[in-house]
Amino acid sequence: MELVAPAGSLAALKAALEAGADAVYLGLKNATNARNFAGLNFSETDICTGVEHAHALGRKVLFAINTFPQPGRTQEWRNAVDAAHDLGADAVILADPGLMVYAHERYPRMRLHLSVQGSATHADAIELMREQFNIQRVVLPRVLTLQEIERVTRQTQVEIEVFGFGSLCVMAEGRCLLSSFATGDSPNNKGVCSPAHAVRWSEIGGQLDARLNGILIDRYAPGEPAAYPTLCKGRFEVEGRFDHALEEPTSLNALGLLPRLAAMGVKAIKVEGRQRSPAYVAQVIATLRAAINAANLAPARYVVRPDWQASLSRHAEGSQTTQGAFDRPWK
Amino acid sequence: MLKLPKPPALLVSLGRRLPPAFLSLHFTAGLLVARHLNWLLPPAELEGKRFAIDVTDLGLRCLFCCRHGSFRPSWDAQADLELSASAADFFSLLQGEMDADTLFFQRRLKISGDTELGLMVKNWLDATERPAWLRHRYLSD
Repeated sequence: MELVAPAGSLAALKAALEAGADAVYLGLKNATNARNFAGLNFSETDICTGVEHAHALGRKVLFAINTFPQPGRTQEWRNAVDAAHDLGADAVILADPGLMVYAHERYPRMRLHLSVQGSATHADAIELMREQFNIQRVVLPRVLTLQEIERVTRQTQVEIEVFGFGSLCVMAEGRCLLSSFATGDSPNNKGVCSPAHAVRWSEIGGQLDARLNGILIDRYAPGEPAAYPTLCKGRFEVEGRFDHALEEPTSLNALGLLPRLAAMGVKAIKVEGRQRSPAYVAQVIATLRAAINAANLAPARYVVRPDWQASLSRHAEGSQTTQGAFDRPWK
Repeated sequence: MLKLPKPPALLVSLGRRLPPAFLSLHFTAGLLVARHLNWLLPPAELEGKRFAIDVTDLGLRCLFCCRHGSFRPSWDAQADLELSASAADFFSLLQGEMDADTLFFQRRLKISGDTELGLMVKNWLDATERPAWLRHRYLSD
């Protein structure tokens, strides 16, 4: 299985390759990708250096252009596809079918990956994208169980990529408009759930308040682990109960499932976190590299080492991890 | 990970008694040295902004601002962005060894004021490669 690492900067890209990533995914400094954060992402010069560096090591660079073009602004997204092609990307990760048409017709030899934001949850949707645009890989939404992933993998010839570690969202991937109710921006048109200009943190006497455009969305007790300031992870009063109304802040951790994912034919494991530092990338990628190597070497004897678990848990959002939808025995 | 010992009580009480201006001057001098070594070149978005660094376990507070691409001590008690953490956590951030979001999730790094400016500073520092003498091996812990 290939290990696919996030990079929000050239330093993170180098850290990922040094730690053993097979491929790195990145984006431009604009709304064409889903991590459009202040000061994050790559200039074209940095991409050139990064691509050169990766190719010298025999690794790949994947270009995320995974938001949805806004009416009247399609050209910005097409420009990003052109940039990816011109800068030597090994593949582009797209969500919007309209952009797929453009990329496929203009650059028929460019590898296309269907982003998790494309929300293809079953083989028919994936096969349709292959027939139409010759997609080579699909990143599966994080709502699928292991059994469902296995079935999809059997039913399509498109390579399957799944998330192995990182912050979870409510997984209305590709269509989430929740944060726009508070800020007017949403991940799939602005590339950001909670734009930083709308976020305010205030701590008084150890009690930490998170406000989004003035709306109180969470209040952490002294010492309580914190999370990203998104509406979906906030705590609200619903029918007299004060709790996480949608989901708890947590990170997905598939360490325990690697041999099973490999056995069902999953081609790549993706790590979330282009917004994180090179230190996170290095530590998380080194851990998953060791685990994937162990799973490849002797799948039957694979056990999750406590130090791997500790290394990943340390970086988890809300300081807790879950196997997410992978593990739903009742389903 | 390099573990810094807990600061001795004497240092803590000294830190609390030193005038903020005295600390800010020295802290800013350090930033300027780094800038002259071409290690810390602040992006344009930091221009004119005032920063406060609170080293919680030492009881230190440093105020500085960014003017004409250079760091200057600030005499203004107000800051646009204020960051608080322990000396050891600030040091590991400086080394590029610790992830700011990880520290934030664990409530070890506090941010107040302009969050977008905070993100800009974080991403600028993350993108800045550390000189070899400062860089701690990421993978050694």
